[in-house]
Amino acid sequence: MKQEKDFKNYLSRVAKQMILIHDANLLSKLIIRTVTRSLSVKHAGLFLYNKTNQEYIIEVSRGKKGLKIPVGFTKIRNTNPIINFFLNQNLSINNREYLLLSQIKKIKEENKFNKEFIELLIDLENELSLYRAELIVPGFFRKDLMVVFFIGGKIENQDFTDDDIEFLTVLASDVVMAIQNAKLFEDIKQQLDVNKQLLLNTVETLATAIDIKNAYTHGHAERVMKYSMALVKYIPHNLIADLKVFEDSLKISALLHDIGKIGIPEDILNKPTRLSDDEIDLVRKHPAMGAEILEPISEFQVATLGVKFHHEKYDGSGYPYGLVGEDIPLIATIISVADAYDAMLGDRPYRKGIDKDKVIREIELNKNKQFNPAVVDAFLEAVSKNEI
Amino acid sequence: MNKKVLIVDDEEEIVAFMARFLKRLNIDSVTAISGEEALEYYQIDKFDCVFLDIHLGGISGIDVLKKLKKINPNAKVIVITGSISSDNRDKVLDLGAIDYLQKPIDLADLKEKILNYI
Repeated sequence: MKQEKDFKNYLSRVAKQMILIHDANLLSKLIIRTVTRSLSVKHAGLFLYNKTNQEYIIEVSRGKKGLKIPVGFTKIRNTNPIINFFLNQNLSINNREYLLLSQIKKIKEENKFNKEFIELLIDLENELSLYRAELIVPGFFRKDLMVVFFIGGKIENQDFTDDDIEFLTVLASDVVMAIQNAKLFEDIKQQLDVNKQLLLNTVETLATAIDIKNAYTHGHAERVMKYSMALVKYIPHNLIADLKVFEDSLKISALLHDIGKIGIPEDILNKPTRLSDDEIDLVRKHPAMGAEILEPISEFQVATLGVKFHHEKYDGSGYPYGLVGEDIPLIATIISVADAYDAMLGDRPYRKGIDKDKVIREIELNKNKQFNPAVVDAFLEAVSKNEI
Repeated sequence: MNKKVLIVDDEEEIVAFMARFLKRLNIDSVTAISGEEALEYYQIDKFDCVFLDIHLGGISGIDVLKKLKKINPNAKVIVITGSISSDNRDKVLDLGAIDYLQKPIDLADLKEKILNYI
């Protein structure tokens, strides 16, 4: 370390970068690069603790060819003299904050300790020379030894200064914190993925429950979801702020778009003859009832819009709100096209299904009338690419 | 006289590390960083044991193993490998390796195996 200012600069710069990295291996590489550069050492390596197997494996090593510690070649356990030294409360040199080869040699030569202690020093010295390390610095998380720096001698063979050692000690504790963060981040991500999958399973179960009520539309929700997901790819992306988030909501919304039908008796839904005016009123409430069911779930805010407005029409003639044009949320306009497409294809209590080409033409004809023109364009493009 | 082993690995750091480790056990070593080099040494010198990395550039570790056994059917070869499937393990043992070590190697295991075989 040339100057104290350099040392502080390095530390704060490295610390800033470490916060951003959630990958333990990448992080270790960055650290070791920092160490070899700023201390001008022949090589440096980082052993990381694997708690499951209770072993330390060298993950990153950098330095002169033939000199650095081979990565991934060996693993050591807490029976290793160096690891044992840092974990064993009875032994103490430098308050167990670091081990310096030159110091071990010196203490050994003083020859004023008992045989047992000297043997321990010899073990340590042998172990350090095996790895060609002259300085060892540990990093703890609570009582766990998480990382161990193995540092080779300096390129110009100078001694390590107190500043160097302090630099490494601080760096080691930063590494430990960053690794803990990275692990935590990984855990949370996994947990979120699990939750997301659970949620989707629940949504699919609900969608099936609605489908079963309606004898004529088996698999309808699943198909509307598929058509919607195919279609959304061709919607101009400047219309969508965050595609990933939008797609997640669209998937849920499409699966649940008819959830409001849960409140409508089956004999009305499956009636083969014309519905009475009262019955029509009831059926037309299903988007609003669906929205009411989903509104309490804050994660479903956008998805609820799709459910609530999927029967609105571009020209304002839809139900139950009679919204016009761009006032209808995009998510609902997508479901609206997908829903109409599947409905026309399938048999109904009162009529047979229509063939695919006719249905596509029907949707094209309703551009700007029933449907948002941008969504119809996207639909036609998806059809031409054979994705619908 | 000290025992002598041949260490074959295309990573210089590994052969150097192994040589240092063996030196501490009073075992001499000759290092080779390719299969070709290893076979050359094996023809002109006698070794108590060979540590052979299976993933070598140039002639493969498997071929080196076959040729070593041809030169000396009693050759004691310990194969070192990254990941090993049970098929591959059976294969190297069928070809006459006496044992194998999987990376990362526990040095205590390594020591035990060496002392066991030589």
